[in-house]
Amino acid sequence: MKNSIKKGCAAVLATVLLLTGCSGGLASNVNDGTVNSNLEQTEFNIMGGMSALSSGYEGNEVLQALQQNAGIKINWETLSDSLGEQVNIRITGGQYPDAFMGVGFSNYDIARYGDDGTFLDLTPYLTPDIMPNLCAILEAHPEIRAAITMEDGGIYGLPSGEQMTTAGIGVPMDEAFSIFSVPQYSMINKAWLDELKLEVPTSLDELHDVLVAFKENDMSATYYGNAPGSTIPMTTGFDEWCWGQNIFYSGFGFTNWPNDVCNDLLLKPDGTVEFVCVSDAYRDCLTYFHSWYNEGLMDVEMFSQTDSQLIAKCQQGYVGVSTWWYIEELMDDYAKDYVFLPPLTGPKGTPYEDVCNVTIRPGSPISSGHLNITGKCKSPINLLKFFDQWYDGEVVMQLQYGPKGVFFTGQDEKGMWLAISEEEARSQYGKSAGELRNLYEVWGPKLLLAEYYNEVFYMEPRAIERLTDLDEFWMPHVKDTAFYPVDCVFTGMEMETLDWHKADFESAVREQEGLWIKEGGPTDAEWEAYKQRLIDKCGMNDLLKVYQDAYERYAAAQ
Amino acid sequence: MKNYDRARGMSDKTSDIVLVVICSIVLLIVAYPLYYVVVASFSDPYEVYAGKTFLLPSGFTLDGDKAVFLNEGIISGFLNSVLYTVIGTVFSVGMLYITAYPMAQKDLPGRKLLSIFFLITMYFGGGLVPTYLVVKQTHLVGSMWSLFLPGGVAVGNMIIVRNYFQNSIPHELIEASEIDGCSKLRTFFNIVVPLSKPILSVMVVFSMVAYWNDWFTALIYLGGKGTPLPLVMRNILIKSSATASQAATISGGYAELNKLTELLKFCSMIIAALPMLMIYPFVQKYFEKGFMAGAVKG
Repeated sequence: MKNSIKKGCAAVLATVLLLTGCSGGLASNVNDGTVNSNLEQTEFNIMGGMSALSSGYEGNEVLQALQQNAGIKINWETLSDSLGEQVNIRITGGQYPDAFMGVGFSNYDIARYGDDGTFLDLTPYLTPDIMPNLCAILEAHPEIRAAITMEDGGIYGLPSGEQMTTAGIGVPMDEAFSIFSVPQYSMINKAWLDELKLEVPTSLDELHDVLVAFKENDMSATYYGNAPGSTIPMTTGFDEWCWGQNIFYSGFGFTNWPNDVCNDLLLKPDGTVEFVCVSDAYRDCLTYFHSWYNEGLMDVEMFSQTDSQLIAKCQQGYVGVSTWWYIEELMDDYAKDYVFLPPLTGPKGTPYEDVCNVTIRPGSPISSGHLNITGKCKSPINLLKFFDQWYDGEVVMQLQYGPKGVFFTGQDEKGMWLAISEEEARSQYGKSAGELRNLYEVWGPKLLLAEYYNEVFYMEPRAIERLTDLDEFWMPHVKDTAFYPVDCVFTGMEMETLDWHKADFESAVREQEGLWIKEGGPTDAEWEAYKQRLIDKCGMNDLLKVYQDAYERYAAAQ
Repeated sequence: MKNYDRARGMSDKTSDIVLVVICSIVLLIVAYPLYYVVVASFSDPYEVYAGKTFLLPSGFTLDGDKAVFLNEGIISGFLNSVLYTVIGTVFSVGMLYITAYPMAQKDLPGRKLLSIFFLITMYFGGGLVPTYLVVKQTHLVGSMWSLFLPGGVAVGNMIIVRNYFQNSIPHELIEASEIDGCSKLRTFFNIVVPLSKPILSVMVVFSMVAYWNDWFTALIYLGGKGTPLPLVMRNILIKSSATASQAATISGGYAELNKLTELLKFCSMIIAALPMLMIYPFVQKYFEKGFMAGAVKG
C-alpha cells in the first residue's frame, strides 16, 4: 500500500515535471546527426559543480592555459551545494548555459535530456579532426565508447571515470581489479587474542568463541583499562559501504556489498544473474547471525549508528572486531594492536563447513554525465576542442590533483610525475596534501585510465598500500572473479523499470535483512511470503530480466 | 481555627515543596539537553559519541568555534539574517494585520469568498519549480524581497489574528470610538492595534523564528548573494563534510576530518539558537494571553 502510494505520487510528480519540462524545451531538435560548423562563439557559459573547498576556477592556471590553447573564454558559474536542485530548476525553466560540467547526471537523465534536445548529441563531433585525443582513447577502449552510448545511439556527454586498479601496483592489466573490489577489510584485536592465548580465527565458529571470550573477559576494561563492561566484541554498520557486516557472510558463500549496480545482484560464472537475497544460503546466513546478535556478540547499535559513532567506539579501544577501509584510520592510537581478520569459513556441521567465498563488486562506472553540451551552444566545435585537451594523461592528472610545480614536484628517471609529500605540503603551503588537492581539483570529464598510473604519475601512497593488501591478502579468498559489469547500457524501457523498482527492492531487502538478524530468521511461511512480496511488490523478476538482458547484450558486444 | 490555619500552612508548604521538586525535574529535563549541546561543542566528538561527556567537556577543544568564527562569511551572514528577520517580520506582521482586520469585519462584502480564497492556498501550493518561475518572471530572483513577497501572508496566522479581532475586541468599543469621531484608520491604529498586543507579540515571534531559521528560500532565490546565517552555517558544515568524504575516497584521514564536521554540528546549533533564546524572555510575558486568545475561541 505504502509503495503504491509512493509510486502514485512519483507518477504524478513525473508528469508534472514532464509537462513543465516541455515548456522549457527547444522548438527544434538540435540532434539531427550533422555537425554544426559555426565557429563564431568564443565565449561560453558553463554551470557546474565544484568542490566546496576549491579556490575557484577563474584563477586556476591549468584551466586558463587550456582555454588559451583552444582560443576561448569560459565564464564559470560554479556551485558546491544543492547542485541537483539548481540544475533541475534551470533546465525546467529553460535558462541553462552552454554546457553543464561536473553535475553527474544519471544515465536516465542523460537519455531524457538527449531525447528532448536539451543536450547535444556529440556523436558527429567525435572525429580525429575535432577531438583527436578522445578519439584515440575511444579507439583503444571500445568499452568506454559502449558505456557512454545511449540506447538511441547518441552520445550526449563526454566520458569520465577513475580506473584505480591493482594494475597500478604491477598486476598485468587484464588481471587487475578495482580498488573497490573488496570494500570492507575486517580486523581483529591481536593483542587481546594474545592475552587470551587465542589464534586469529579462520572459521565463523572460531570467531564466535573468540568474541565470547572477549566479552566474558571484558577485554576493553582489563586490557585497556576502560570502564568495566565497556567491551563491544564486534561492531559494524549495517549494509554500509566500507564499514558493513557483509564481509562476515563469506562463510555462507557470498558477500552482498552495497554497490553501484544493484545490491544483492550476483553474476554467476555461467553468465546468468540471480539475487542472492532469495537464496537458501542467505536465509541460513541470517538465521545464523541472529544467534550472534542474540548472545550480544554483535553491537545492538549496528543498525542505527553512524560512521562517526563507530569511529568513536573504536578509538576508545572498546572494540574487538570491526570493518573499515584501513586499520589505521578506524583504530587510531590502538591500530598497532589490530590485524586483518581473513574471510571465514562457515559453521561446522552444516553444508557451509568448507565454504569461504568473497564475491567482488564492480569498480566505479564510466559516466557521461560530467560534461554535457546543451542546445544553446552556438559553436560546439570550439568548446569541444577545449575539452579534448582533458583527455591527456598529464592534463587530467593536473585537473585531478593540482598543477605541476605545486602538487607535482618533478619527474623520476622513468618520466613518472612525483606527487608532493605530506611533509613538503605542510612546510610549503601549510596544508595537508589532501587539502592542497582540494584547492585545485576540477570536477568535470576526467578520464583517469588505469594505464596512467604506470605511465604518467604514481598513485597516492595509501592507495598503493590498500591495493597491495587487496592483491596479497584479500583477492586469494575470491574464488570467482565474475561481477556484474557496472557499465552495462540499459534501454529506455529498462531504465524505466529500474527507476520504478530498484529503490523499493533494495530497501525492502535491506529492511527485512536487518529484522531477521535482530529478531530471528524466517519461518518457512515468512520466507515464502517475503519472496512473494519481492516478486509482487518490488518487481524482482522484472529487475532480474532487465539485468540479464542487459548483460547478454554487453557480453555479446565484448 | 488555629488548628485549621496550621493545617493549611502545613499543606501549603508540602505542596510548595512538591511543586518545586516537580518543576525542578521538568527544568532539568528541558535544560539538560541544551546544556549538553553546549558541553558537546567544546568536547572531542568521538568522546561524546562514546558516552564520556556528562557534565563537563571531555577532551576540551575550541576547534569547532574556531572554524566557525574564522569563516569570513559569518559576520555578514549574521547581519544579513538580522536584516531579513527585521524587515521580514515587520512586513509579515503588517500584512497579517491589514489582511486580518478587514476579514474580521462582519459587513465586509464577499467575506466568505475571500476566506475560501485564502484557505485554498493553505492546502494547495504550486510546488518549487512553478513558484521559482513566478519569482523569476517578476524579476525578484537575487533580491531580498524574494524572501518576503511570496508567502508574505501566513494564512494560518492570519486566521488566528482574525479570530482574535472578532472575539477579543468588543465590537461596542469600535462603535464607541467611531461615535466619538474616530476615522476607520484611527480606530485601527489607536484602538485595535494597542488592544491586540498579546497576539501581536505572538505573531512577531512566529515570524521572527521563521525568518531567522529560513535557509531554503535564500538558497533557491538569492543565488549566493546576501547569504543569511543559517546558510553560512550550512556551507561551513558542508565544506567540512566534503573534505572528510573526499579524503575518505582514497587518501585517508577521514576519521580526523570527520571529527571537525561532528563538532561543527554542535557549534552551529548553539550559534543559530542563541539569538532566539536571548529574545524569547522579553516577549514571553505576552505569550500566555496571546496563545489562548487566538486558538481556543476560534
